[in-house]
Amino acid sequence: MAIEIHDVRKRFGDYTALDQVSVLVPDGSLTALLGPSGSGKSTLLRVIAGLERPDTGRVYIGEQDVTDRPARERGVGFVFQHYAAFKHMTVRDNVAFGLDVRRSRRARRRERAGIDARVRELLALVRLEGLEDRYPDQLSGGQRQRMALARALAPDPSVLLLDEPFGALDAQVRAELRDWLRRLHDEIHVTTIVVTHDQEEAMDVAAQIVVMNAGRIEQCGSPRELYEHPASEWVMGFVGPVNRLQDGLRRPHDVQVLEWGDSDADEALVQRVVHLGFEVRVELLLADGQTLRAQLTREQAAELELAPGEIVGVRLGSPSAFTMV
Amino acid sequence: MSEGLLPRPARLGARSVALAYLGVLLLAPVGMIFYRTFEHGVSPVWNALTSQPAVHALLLTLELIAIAVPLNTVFGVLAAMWIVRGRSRGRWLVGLLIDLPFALSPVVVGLALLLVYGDNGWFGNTLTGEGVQVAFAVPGMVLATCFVSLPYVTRECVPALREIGTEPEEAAATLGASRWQTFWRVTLPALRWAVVYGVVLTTARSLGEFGAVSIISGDIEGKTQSLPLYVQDRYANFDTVGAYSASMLLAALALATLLLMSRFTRHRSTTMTTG
Repeated sequence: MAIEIHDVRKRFGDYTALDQVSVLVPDGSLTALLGPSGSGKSTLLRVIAGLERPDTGRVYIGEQDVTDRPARERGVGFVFQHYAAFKHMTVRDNVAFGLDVRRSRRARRRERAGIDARVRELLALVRLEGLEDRYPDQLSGGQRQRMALARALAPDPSVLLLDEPFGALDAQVRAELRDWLRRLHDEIHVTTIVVTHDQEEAMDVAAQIVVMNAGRIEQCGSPRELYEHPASEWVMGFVGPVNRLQDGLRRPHDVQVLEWGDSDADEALVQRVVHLGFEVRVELLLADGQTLRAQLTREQAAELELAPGEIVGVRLGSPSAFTMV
Repeated sequence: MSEGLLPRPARLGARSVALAYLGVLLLAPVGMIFYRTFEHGVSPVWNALTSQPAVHALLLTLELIAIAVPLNTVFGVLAAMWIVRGRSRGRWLVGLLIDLPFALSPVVVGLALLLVYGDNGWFGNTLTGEGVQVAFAVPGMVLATCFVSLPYVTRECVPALREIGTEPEEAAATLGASRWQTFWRVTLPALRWAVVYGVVLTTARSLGEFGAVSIISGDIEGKTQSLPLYVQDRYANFDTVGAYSASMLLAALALATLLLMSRFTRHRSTTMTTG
């Protein structure tokens, strides 16, 4: 179901976490809420889930105004950064929790087989088959988070909300789970919002990104739109590396590095060459004292025989323009 | 555990000091009581323990525990929930009040209760008029026992609740659980070892309470004499066999409580690693 936020404001004491925020998350989309810590992205997610009450503004899920409804009546699945596992329950009971609490004791007994089948189906979906009788403490971080996901999906939520779901995991598991989440979304098409502070994660996972800063929404768009047409200097700096020069901002891969001697290029001193596999990052010092970074392919770098202390030519091009500054 | 922080001689030295300290403080006096109790064989002990006032004292102590421990357990868990999860401003005051029995001498507690419920106390006369005798009777002893053993369950549960955090409860809410279901199925099970530990400490404290109970009860033999009061009474009357025997019984009950606790905590540490 689509999610609509209308002019939501939320303060904690003197601190404004959300300042007149309005967003539309389309039905069935996978959207990322991206922003630095303290930008209000987690608060916005909790407002959607009903875990925080907005001071003003409305929240709609589907056609319904859910602003005054408690979390348990909103039909959302929520996944926490630190799993929030029920440690005293087995994996099976964790996943079955949302199915059990909605039924009377008698209905639970009557529908035991159905519940068990649903739990098995979900554990297969998150690839935890065979671990039904384990306790959360006996799972790895990645497995725990997959269990939390299965638990959130069990009652068939109309929206799935994930709060920095991979933040506590190491890089490799994080990349794996990210991949897997995207494929899962292709399969089940539930409207999903992922909160993250990692622009790469947001771009990798989401079709739509909402960039937040200081309790406000800076920009909404596809990863490509954000990268190619950032609405502001701040967004440009947040969604990718930039060179901040006197006349404006430039991406490192837009800086052209040439052999010294071309007439229209500026002179620059190579300070450092960093080999990052396919890419090579070069740190340069311009004649007027400004420093900048350029990004080259391996072949380009080899052809130029870049080494610290060498003089090269650079072409900067014109700085990025913003739709609003 | 084979490799300690200290080199071997230092480790042995540290252990000897610790054991000697325990020995002087604990083992010697307890061992001495044991020796003195059974100095003249088992039959005088048996006779002392089966005497009418001794049996009455034991039953009364068990009765006090049976009332005070469940009351303080329920209250303690609720108070901990209030202190940690509540939103009202007076929470710090609740925490402070609950710690009061730690700070107050039990004798003061007994006197205070007497001032309120005694014959010339605030509602002593009113209650007596209604046919309820609090001071110098079992209700007063229950009050005193509840008061001195009040903080233990709360103090165990407060840090446990903080450690669990609000996220499992929030997860339960998003999964459709009511507050009541969340409490019974998520919060309380997560708290269970803290509650068990608190109950054991409450029981141990209630078992041994002397000062407050001594004052409010009036210490009437066969009526308001709990086991610790009985020990003191026998001792004051130069009935050493009676005093030592009852002490042994008290020590045995305390030991049983502690063994029960260590059984539970061992269980806890194994569930932490293997589930």
